[in-house]
Amino acid sequence: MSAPIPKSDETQLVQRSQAGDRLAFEELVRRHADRLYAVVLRFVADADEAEEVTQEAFLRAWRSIDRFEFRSRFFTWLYRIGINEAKRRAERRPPPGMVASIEDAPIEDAPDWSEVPEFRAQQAHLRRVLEDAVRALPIEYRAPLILRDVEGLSTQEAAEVMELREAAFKSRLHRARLAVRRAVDRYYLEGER
Amino acid sequence: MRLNPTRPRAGPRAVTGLVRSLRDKREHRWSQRRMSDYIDGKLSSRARRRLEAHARLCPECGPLRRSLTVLVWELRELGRAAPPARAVAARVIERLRREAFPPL
Repeated sequence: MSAPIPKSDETQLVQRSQAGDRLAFEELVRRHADRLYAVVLRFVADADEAEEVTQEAFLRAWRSIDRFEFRSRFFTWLYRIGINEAKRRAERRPPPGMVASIEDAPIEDAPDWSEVPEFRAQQAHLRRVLEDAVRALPIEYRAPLILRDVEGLSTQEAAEVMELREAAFKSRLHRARLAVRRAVDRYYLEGER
Repeated sequence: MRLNPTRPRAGPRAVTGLVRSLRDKREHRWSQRRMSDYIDGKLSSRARRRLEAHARLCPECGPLRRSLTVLVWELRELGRAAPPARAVAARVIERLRREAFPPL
């Protein structure tokens, strides 16, 4: 049985996991499970599925840990596994109200709601509209938005998770932001009627 | 040789207007393509000033800049809100011990 592992360099934990040290891998689980679960929750139907996906992701990570080559950070690699698993499930069961396409054209006469104090004050409403709009995005556009804007990964890290070049990642991110903005425009326009 | 000698020549104002319109369109396209980078603070200070100058006058880019700034801020706030606690790590470890780890 291994000696207790101090909360030290994550590289050591990964290397020890690669050597078969299950306690080292359990420490990696404790460090990353909650965050991975929170990310996955934004891709799947509900909390139970998010937990299942998180478990699957760690199982896959353990089984392929010897293939991790330290070219990225461990959590980037782990996020990629988790999101790919979530995508597989989402493709089998698309969420209701999914946007069929991402358009570039803005809504005509959209109000500048960012300048309306009453609208900004209804933050709980705005957040619900945002969550619904993000959930309605096709997954290849939802992922950049969640990784970069919700989770706060850098562009480079988020592009690595998605295995995209930065330029392609930024293009998808921009279109996703515009799509969410259109959803808020529509919501606000409907509220005015 | 002019193609249509009976058509009056465009005066200097019309030419200036056309040039300004083409420049405005170019600035508009340039600004729209860089709006997300602007929101993310990735533009050089010169590019940032150029975009802001255009956004001050453009009826599309001004509201777009403001609304995307608000959106990205609100999305970040969504990320800061912690999901309900579910002791996920413990159950992951339980499953790893059951299905994947070699016996001790």
